[in-house]
Order: sequence, then structure tokens, then C-alpha cells
Amino acid sequence: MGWRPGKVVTGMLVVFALMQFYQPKQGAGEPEAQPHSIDAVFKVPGQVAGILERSCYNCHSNTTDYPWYSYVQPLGWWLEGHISEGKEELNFSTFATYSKRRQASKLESVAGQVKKGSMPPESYALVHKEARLTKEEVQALTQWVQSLQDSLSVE
Amino acid sequence: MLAISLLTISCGKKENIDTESAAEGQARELSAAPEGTAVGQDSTGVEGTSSDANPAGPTASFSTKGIIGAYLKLQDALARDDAKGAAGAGKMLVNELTKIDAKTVEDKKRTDYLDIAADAKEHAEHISHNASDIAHQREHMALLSKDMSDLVTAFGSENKLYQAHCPMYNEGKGAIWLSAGKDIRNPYYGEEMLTCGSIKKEF
Repeated sequence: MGWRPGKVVTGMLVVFALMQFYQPKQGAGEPEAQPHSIDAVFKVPGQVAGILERSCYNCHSNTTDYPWYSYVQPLGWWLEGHISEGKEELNFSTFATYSKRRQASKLESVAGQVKKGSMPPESYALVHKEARLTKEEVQALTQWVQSLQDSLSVE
Repeated sequence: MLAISLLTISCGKKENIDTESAAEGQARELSAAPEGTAVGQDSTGVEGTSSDANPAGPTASFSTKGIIGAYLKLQDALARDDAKGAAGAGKMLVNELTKIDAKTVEDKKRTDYLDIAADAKEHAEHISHNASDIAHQREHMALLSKDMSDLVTAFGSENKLYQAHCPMYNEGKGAIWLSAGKDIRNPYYGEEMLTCGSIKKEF
């Protein structure tokens, strides 16, 4: 007997195959049933809605568009972890359930993160080139947030 | 036992009202746990009545002292450009907020308190998790300070507090902070512009 690389590879393949049996529950909801989404409390103009959907909603809403590799484990587990973290932080699908104070806080953070370029995260934008925001889009988003803040009248 | 010793320890300290209330809150939690596990024992009845007997209402013991104390430490750390210290103070603030039993807040104001506390806790958590990103800590500081101002407006403070304003922060949108003294020590710019800002209000 001795060192048999073939066995190791086979073993790894078996583990990999077994991993596929555990598919995490993906949190995608039906896009049509969103009674508590941000649209329920604020006007979201078309351009902004487009930006949010394209660049934010995959991790910050219940309408995640899961890519094919999310079904390949352990990639899918890792992805799901990130998504649930993102939604816990900010979920546009449940935005209307936040208190006014929290809504104002979240909006301020949205503008701050987008302005700084921290969102969407670089690692995400690397793979999802379509998520990247142009200068004009950043401006459209921050101006929208500003207009909402004025309407929220929290200073 | 544990609960009793906790109470006596806290009574020995010179901080009075709020520590006691916090200890009471903890005592209740602690006594709740063995209650669940010690099924069928006589003590369950006793424990039950003792926690029921806790006055859930009138003014009893809610105080903003612990929260404000942690916040002022945070304010000081940021003014010193000390991100690690700020993270530590943020953690303290989270603990203070967790410690408070909302039942001790008077009924009429409880919703307000919970609203402020939930938001403040979130900001404090972010600050505590970003020990290497002071700019991000400061963003949350600006929002947290609004919460603190509302908290003190609604519930008062044991010590004198001032509200200062920095007109420059956030691209000229400005930001406030609370301070124990009249001297300006700007938490948003630190050393870079330590004395930028002015006192706008006294609590």
C-alpha cells in the first residue's frame, strides 16, 4: 500500500457530491407580493427603482436573483450567508416595517455607503459588473435619499 | 443566590439608581433560567411571585445614566481619533442598552424609548465592529448622536449635557454630538479640526 493520490481525489469527489444534497433554503420571495417594500412608504422613481433592483436587491431584498452557482455547494452556503447578513442589515422588501427613525437611519447609511463606494462591495461588483454604479447613478440615489429625508423631517 | 449577591454587590457601589435597576433586570433574567430547569420544585412558585412582584410601572428605576456614560466615552475616543477605543465604547453602549429592561420605562414613553434604543443599538454595534474604519464609525456616530439627543430630550439626564454642532460634517449637512462640557472636542474630525463646532443647546 502507500500513498494513493487517486483515493484522495475520489474521497474529495465523494465529499463534494454529498455536499450537493444539502441545499440551503433560498430566501427568494415572489416579486409580486411585497406589501412592506419601500414602495409602500416612499415614492421610488423609475430610475432609482432600476438602480436599486440592479445593484442592491440581490442582497438587500427578498427578491434575490440566485445565480446558477448558488446551487453548487459549498458556494451556495457561502453566498446564502452573505445574503442573509445583507438582508439583516437592510431589507428593502420589509422597509415599511421599520420605524420612521430606522428608515431615516437606513437611508442615510445608503447614501453614505454608495457615495463612498463601499456599496455595492467590490468583491460583488467584480463578478456582477452590471451592479456597478456610475457617477450619475450615485447622484440620482443620493438626491433621492435627500428628498426623502426632507420629507421625513427628522432634522 | 446569584441574584442576591449581584444585588448586594451593586448596592455597595456608589452609583445608585441605574445600577440597581440593571441588576434587578439581570436578577430577573437569572432567576428565570433556573426556574425553567428546576421543574417540579417548590422554588418555582416562589420565584414566580418574586418576579411578578417587581413593579413594572411607575418611574421606578429607569435612567439614561449608563447609556449616556458609554456614549460620552465613545465621543471622547472619536475626538482622540482612537478607533479601537471607540469600538470598545460602542460595545459598552450595546451592553448598557441590552441591560435596560424596557418595563421600567413609563408606559406612555415606552414605544419612543424602544424606537430610540433599537436604532442606537444598531449604530453602537456598527461602531464596535469597525475598529479599523474610523470614518465608518463616525458616520454611525452622527446618527447615534441624533438618537442620544432625542433620548435626553425625552428622558433627561442626571448630569448636565450640551449639544454641539459641527456644520461641516457629511459634506456640509452638519452633525450634532452631545458633550459633558462646554468645550468643543469634535468627534467627527478629531485632531484634524478638534475645536470646530459650537454649542447649540443645553440639556
